[in-house]
Amino acid sequence: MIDLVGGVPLYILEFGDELVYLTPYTITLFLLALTFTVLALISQPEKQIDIAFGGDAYRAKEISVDEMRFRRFMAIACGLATMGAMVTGDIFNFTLFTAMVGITNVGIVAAVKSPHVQDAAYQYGLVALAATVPLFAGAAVYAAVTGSLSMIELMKGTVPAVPLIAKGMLMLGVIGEGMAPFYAAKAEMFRAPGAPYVIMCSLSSLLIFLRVVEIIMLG
Amino acid sequence: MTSRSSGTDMIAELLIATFFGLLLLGIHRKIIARIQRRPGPPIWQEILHMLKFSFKTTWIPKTASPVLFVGVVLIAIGIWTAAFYVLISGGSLLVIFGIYMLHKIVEHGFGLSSGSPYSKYGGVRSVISAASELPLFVSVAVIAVYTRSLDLSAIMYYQQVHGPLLIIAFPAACAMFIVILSKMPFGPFSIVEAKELVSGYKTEHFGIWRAGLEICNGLKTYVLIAVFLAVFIGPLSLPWLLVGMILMIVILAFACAVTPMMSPFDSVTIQMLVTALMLVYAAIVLMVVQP
Amino acid sequence: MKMKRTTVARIFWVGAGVCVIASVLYFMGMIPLPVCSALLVVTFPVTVLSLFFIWMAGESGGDIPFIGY
Repeated sequence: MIDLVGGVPLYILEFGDELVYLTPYTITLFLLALTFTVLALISQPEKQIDIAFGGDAYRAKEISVDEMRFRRFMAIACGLATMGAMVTGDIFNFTLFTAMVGITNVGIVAAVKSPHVQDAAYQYGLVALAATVPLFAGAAVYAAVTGSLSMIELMKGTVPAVPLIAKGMLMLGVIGEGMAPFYAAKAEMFRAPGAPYVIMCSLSSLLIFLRVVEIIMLG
Repeated sequence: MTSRSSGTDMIAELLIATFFGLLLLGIHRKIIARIQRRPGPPIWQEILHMLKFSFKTTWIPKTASPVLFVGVVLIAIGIWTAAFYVLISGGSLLVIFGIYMLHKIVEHGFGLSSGSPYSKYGGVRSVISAASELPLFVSVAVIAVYTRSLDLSAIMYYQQVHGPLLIIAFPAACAMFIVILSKMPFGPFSIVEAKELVSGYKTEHFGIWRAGLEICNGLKTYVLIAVFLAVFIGPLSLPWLLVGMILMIVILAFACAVTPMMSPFDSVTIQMLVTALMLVYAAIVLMVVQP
Repeated sequence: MKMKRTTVARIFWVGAGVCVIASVLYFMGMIPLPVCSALLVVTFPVTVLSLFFIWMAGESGGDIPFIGY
């Protein structure tokens, strides 16, 4: 429909299925994912202050080292999955990375010992789980119609046009990973302490959404 | 802002854009004050603000996550610098809107990194107001249907041939206007910096951190308004660009001055309604323009 | 985490130097726009904040969080 959505590809690495291609758009997104992953890697979590409403009592939440280690691991895994999703040139790989982002997002907050946050993580997990159905179905329709999952082939325009339903399902799958209107549970997850890790939750789904916008405009 | 290949002084343009953006914010405040029958600050107040904050004693709060607390200020200025260069090079509209959405992450970063409950709620509110970005993507899709490209230079060329998109795709312009409105201070949708949260996400960033945030705000205002003019009016010469930007800020100031700040849920509801209307509009455009 | 004023000043001059040199090189058409803007995107925020640090350079320590009444 539209040519060269993300700009002219600067670099294409064809390595079997592991197709990687870089346009100005995907490089920008990749670098942003990288920046925030490095931030999660090097920064300490903050000490969140809680006020008891109605009184003047307050307390700082401390995060235990074990909990912090696990959550940092999950945040970095989430960052790596996001980076993968940003530069991959293969639709199936993109859906795999997206599903992995959903899992790691639950992992980032699952270690927090707060019933409120755990509830939110559980609800978010259910939505993300359900969203993988249209996500992979969308990729399957892409493969069935065009006979290829390569975005380079889609970009060339030599393959048959992708039906709107496939694009819709791919979009729905990504939106289910945490965009409006399914982000309600995610907003509750932000009550968890540990800012550098929690930010990865929202960054990853935002970047994946930005990438899928490019992908659905390709075919 | 026209696209150009070389022969411009990049750093000077960046600084001018920052100061002009701060001046626009000052005009915005002044007009709101005059509408509400207050004298209001002088129009260069936001520039003075930025300088004032930069002279204040600064440290990092004990409860904060230090690297994130500082890093997010650098990222805030960095992403809008990038958006500015995408704008002047006539690059992809998608990149600018990607950066616009990432500003939300920056707001989270500001809010969550300090550990203060006020700024945390500012950050949480910025998550629930994520609905404000969706009209943006629908309007981008509509523009893409008409112009068949998302490069700013191509969009401006299209408008030179076919006339401004403001007339051709008026609802898309309205949607983008609401998107810009949701990022203006004192507006109906600016729930992330509501006064019941002290200053929302920026409560704990004081001194030079706040000065950095002011620089980011100046650049952001400049870029967003210039992108609106480039996408919906077309290429403009420098004097007309400045006139257009001041006109835009006057309209935005009127919209901000006569509307109360909404409660978070009302704000989200209205943004979702706008999105739904835009989806209907996009479907109609898709059927009529591209059968 | 404290930094000396001289260190900050050095960071500022390096950053400002990179910004000016990059834009001059672009002005003369010696480097393409993406390279120039990439350099500026990285150095501009650092330069601005270090400039502010130079003329502020607070000597006081940390704070005691003030939490309501």
